[in-house]
Parts: sequence; structure tokens; C-alpha cells
Amino acid sequence: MIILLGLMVMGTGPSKELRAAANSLLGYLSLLFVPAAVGVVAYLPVLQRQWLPIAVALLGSTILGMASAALVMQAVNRRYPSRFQQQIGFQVEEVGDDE
Amino acid sequence: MIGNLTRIAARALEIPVIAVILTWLAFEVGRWAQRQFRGSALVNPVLIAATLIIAVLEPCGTSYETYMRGAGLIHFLLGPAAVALAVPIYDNIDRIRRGAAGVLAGIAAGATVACVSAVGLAWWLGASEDVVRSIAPKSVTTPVAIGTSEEIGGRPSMTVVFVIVTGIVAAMISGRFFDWIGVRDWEARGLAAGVAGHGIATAQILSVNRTAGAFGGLAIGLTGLFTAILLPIAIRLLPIIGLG
Repeated sequence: MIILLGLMVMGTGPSKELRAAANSLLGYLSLLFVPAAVGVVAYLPVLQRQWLPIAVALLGSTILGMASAALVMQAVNRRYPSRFQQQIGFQVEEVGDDE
Repeated sequence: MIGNLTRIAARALEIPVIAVILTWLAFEVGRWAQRQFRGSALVNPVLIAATLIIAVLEPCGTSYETYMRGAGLIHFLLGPAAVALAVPIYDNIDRIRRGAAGVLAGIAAGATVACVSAVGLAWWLGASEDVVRSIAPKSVTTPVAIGTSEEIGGRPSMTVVFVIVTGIVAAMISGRFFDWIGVRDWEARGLAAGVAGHGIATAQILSVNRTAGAFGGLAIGLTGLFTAILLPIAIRLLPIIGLG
């Protein structure tokens, strides 16, 4: 990922073919995680004895980690807004679910 | 009758292509279900698909190894997909440059809080030591998590489970949750999804907003780097400051 990014930044950016291939692959990104998730559900009974600490730790830490990442980034961006940030605004590119 | 059916299905599942088709069909059902709930992140297609597939594999007596002979092909595409994430990142490179300070601060804060709170909660609630060690790298993308888990004396197979569950949890809360905590901008939402829920949460948020997906992809890489370097050092320092 970093190598490809580096090449694109140094060169002329992604070609049309590369862009098409990447987009079709990323459109199905969630699908690619399904086989690994199947393996997990099969493993869950092994963790049954300690399910409570594990469940609380996973849920709690995910919520806390996500909130702190988002809030810290938002706070830093507000405290040190770059000159262009307001001028450009957020042009949101919507990606439909059906793609 | 039902016995015959499961026997036939079990034989069919030995053909790799059938496992691929089953995975894809189950995923389409998951996506259809998500659409029925107006795209709610809580209805996670990965979780639905995995549950459906197990509901098929179990009665057929098909092992995970047999299933993976075909499904491994889909799993293999994760590598190229990680590389493909460079394209949305490239498209947003100017936004990332402008917000670099926020990006780095958000990743450092999120990765640290996720790791420390996971270890703290598990330890406090009496989880065994191998669980505590295996849970530490759980917010990181799988290949990095496996390496880090080995490094700090965890069990990599257990870590994989924690990583996947974390990703699904993060994907499920990556919707409304941001409204509740007052984070409206897609850059911070995407970044947080990538920090806390690596590829699975990034995939979910990428399906909603491409800019968020780009920041998620960036966060996966940087969180992995940050954790892989600092976590083993932190674990070595614990005995020195009198803990652990």
C-alpha cells in the first residue's frame, strides 16, 4: 500500500485501469473478511470460560478507542485549522451500497 | 431425506468453487439485510454471512480447513485489497496533508486508549494472562497483530479472534455512535474506524463515504506501525516501573 502510494505521488497518479481494478476490489472489501470471520465463530466455544472479561474488554476498548481517535482528531483540527480547510469545505463523495 | 441432502451438500462443499459461491451468496444475503435496515451499520454483512456459512457447514460436518480450500481464494484477495486502499488515500492526499497533525494525534490517542483499556478491562475482570497478552494488539490489522502478539508472549490464534471480533464491533458502532459523540466530519469518522476497527470497520465506512474510507485506510497502516513499535517496548518497561 505504501509503495503504491509512493509511486502514485511521485508519478502521474493511478492509471484508469489501476483505478478501475482498485475500485472493484474495494467495492467488495467486506466480502474478503468473511472467510476469516467464519474461522472465528468456530473458535468462540474455546473462549467460553472467560467470555465476560473478553466481551467487556473488546466492546469497551473499541468504543473508547474509537471515540478518543475521533474526538482528538476533531479537537486538533479545530485548534489548528489550516488556511484552506474552510475555503474548500467538505466535498463528500458518496459511495452507494450497490456498487 | 434431510440426511441425503446434507450428504450431497457435504460432498459439494469439498469442491472449492462451491465454497466460494457459498461465501459470496451468504455475503449478498448480508448486504441485502443491511439494505432492508436502510444501510444501518448495526446490521453487519460480515457477521450475517459468517453465521449463515456456519449454519451450512455445521450440519454437513464440513471442517474449516475443507471450507478454506475454496474460501482461501477470497481470503487471499485481502492482500491486493490492502494495496488497493492506496488509491482512495491518493485521491485524498491533500486533505490528509492539511490535517496531518490531527491524523497523527488521533491515531496515537486512539491506538493507545484501545490497547490500554482492552488490557485494563480484561485484567481487572480476571482474564487469564494469555488472554490479557493476546488482547493487547486487537485493534491492529491481522498480519501485524499476529506478529506483535508473538512478540509480547500472547497466543496468535487467540489474537486473530480478538482482532476479527473487534473489527465487527467497530463496524457495527461506526454509524450512529459518531452522532452521539458529536463527530460530524467524515475524515475523523473514517480515521477512528480504521484506528479502532482496522479493515473490517474501514470496509463498512468506505461503503458509506469514500473520504472516510481513505482516512480509515491510512489509519490501518499507521496504527499498525505505531502499535508494532511501541507495544513490545511498553511491555518490557512494565516490570521496570514495578507493574506486571
